[in-house]
Amino acid sequence: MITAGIDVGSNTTKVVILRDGEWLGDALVLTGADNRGSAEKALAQATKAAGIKRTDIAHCVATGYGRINIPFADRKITEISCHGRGAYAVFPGTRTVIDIGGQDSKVIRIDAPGRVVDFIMNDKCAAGTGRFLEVMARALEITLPEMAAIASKSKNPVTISNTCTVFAESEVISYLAQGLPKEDIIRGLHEAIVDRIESMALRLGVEQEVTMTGGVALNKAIVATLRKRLKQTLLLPPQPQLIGAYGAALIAANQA
Amino acid sequence: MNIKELIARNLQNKGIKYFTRPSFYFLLKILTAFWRPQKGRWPQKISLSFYLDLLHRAYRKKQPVVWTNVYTPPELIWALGGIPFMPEIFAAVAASLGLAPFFLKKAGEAWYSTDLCSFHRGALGMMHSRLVPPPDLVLATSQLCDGAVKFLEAASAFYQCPFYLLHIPYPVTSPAKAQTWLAEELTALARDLKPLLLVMPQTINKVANHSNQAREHLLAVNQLRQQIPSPYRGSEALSDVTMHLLALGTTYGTAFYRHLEDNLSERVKNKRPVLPQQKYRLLWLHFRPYYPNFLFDFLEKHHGAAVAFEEVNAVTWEKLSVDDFWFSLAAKILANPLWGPAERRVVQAVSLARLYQVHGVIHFAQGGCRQSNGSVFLLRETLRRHKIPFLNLEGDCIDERNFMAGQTMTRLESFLELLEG
Repeated sequence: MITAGIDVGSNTTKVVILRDGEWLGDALVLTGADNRGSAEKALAQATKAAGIKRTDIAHCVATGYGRINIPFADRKITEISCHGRGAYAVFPGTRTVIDIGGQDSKVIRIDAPGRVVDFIMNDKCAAGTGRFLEVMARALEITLPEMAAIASKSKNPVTISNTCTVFAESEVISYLAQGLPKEDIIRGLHEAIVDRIESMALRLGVEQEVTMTGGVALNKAIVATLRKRLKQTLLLPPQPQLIGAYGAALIAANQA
Repeated sequence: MNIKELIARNLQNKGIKYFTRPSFYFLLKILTAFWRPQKGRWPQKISLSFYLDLLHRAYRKKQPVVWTNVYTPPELIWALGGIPFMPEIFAAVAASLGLAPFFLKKAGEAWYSTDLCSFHRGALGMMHSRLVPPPDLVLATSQLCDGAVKFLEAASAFYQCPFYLLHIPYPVTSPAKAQTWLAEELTALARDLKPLLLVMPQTINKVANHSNQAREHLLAVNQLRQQIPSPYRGSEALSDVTMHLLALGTTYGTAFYRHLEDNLSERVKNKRPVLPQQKYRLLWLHFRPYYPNFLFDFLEKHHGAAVAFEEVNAVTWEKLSVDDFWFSLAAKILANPLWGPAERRVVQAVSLARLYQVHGVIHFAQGGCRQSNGSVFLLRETLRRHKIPFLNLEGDCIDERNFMAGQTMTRLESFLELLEG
């Protein structure tokens, strides 16, 4: 049976297609202003990559903040359940999932059979999310992929004291005006994000094994800093940004 | 233009004067008297009549208006011959009419920080708009939060009227001593207020009897709510709670709960639950958002999740005594599990969760509410030990600008998925 998972995130929309649980194809497009349009586009790309027709899909689950805008999905499931399910499928020993997405971050606890037993989400601001990094990259006139590499050169990271993204951006600009090295500022930004995630993780309780998902898991500096802070090995799936969609496709297979 | 827009527009011009005239509420009272509600809607008629009557009497000024904070037993002020007015309740009423943003802005203009509880900011905004009956005296009780005392002190200064503070002891080491001490304080207060109010023994008798009758009906209502599926919507119960915060001790309070008991009995007898396809039962802690929002529709209609009971509707006190009114009133005040050590609230939450056979507990974490949010850690840990899932849902009861629809929906849905297993 062929199933699809669609994860409509604030920044990107991801689709994963499975046949009897086996990965057939995937796609990732920018979400933009049209949730449904981006889901259609990502689904078209994913079906092409999988070499199937859209009508071959037996069951489809939508997740992510834009899940409610996908009328052709058979069911809508939150990203908490989908990331939990996806991470557990990749690493069955997973008991804690840390997902840092574009506009929110979550820590999810799962039990031995893979059920979500508890979760915590960031409060209602962008600090501790991918959006925070995006805004700062723009202020520093560098690209997101460059950030992690530059941060690793830092010897004396600065302290970013503002948790509000807008004020933190002003703080960054003021550090630049003081002539502080860019790498120290960027490292400071990474530390600030990790502060937020670490606090959430410790509040919920971290149980081994810990898997990191979401687009920010591609940032090596964040992963290294978080690993150091939590004193835990962090498991990284091959394409962490697709784990929500993967989990959705797995749930679709169960519910078809 | 709908009624809300009409009110909102009039708030900003001379039309405001109509809302402060007793004749306005008297007319509405008369119109309400002709209203023949559908079967099952009598409690709503009684509740509306009560509020119109309260506002009519408060503006008519034949009896002194006493501003006080929520959880001060209304029987205290009714028995003293005054009209209790709880501005926090009217902030919730304003929010339900979609008017809170106007009053919150007014409070901001008067230097009240957004860090302050929005119940108080809303009430302060109403005060600065002069859209509430002015008090003849202000009586604050030190339960449950200090913010309420400060807010009422500000009201006393604003209206230049006397301010009284009833200090409620923390019932920790010696509950009996606390009760005796508080009863003496209440007796002294009644004596001090005698020149201002109209304390008469027959009033105390009437108030105690009405309160006790309403209590019996409320106990019956709460017992009927143990039925599965639920015969009463949690969203309604969280609005109707204002009747036991303000109307106990009056004929309205008794009639309201008698009709409510009749309604629920009929629903249970004829197997007419409010949510026929009930999948989950929830216990709700603290109040709800009172501005128009999707939260309860989302829970009930989309997910079959019924709020089976709320901690704020629990009957925690014994009957009032006609012979020893102040002593029994002191007992009622001290019996509130939301006052005192957090352990009392936690124990009650576990007990209610068991009694109402809920699948999970939601604590609505009102921004700025220290007294409630301060016990979240203990609530969570204790419920977890009892294997009862718990969600701390951050939001705001009055200020809709702090209500994030997407995030709230994801948290609620994730919690329900967690219950599904």
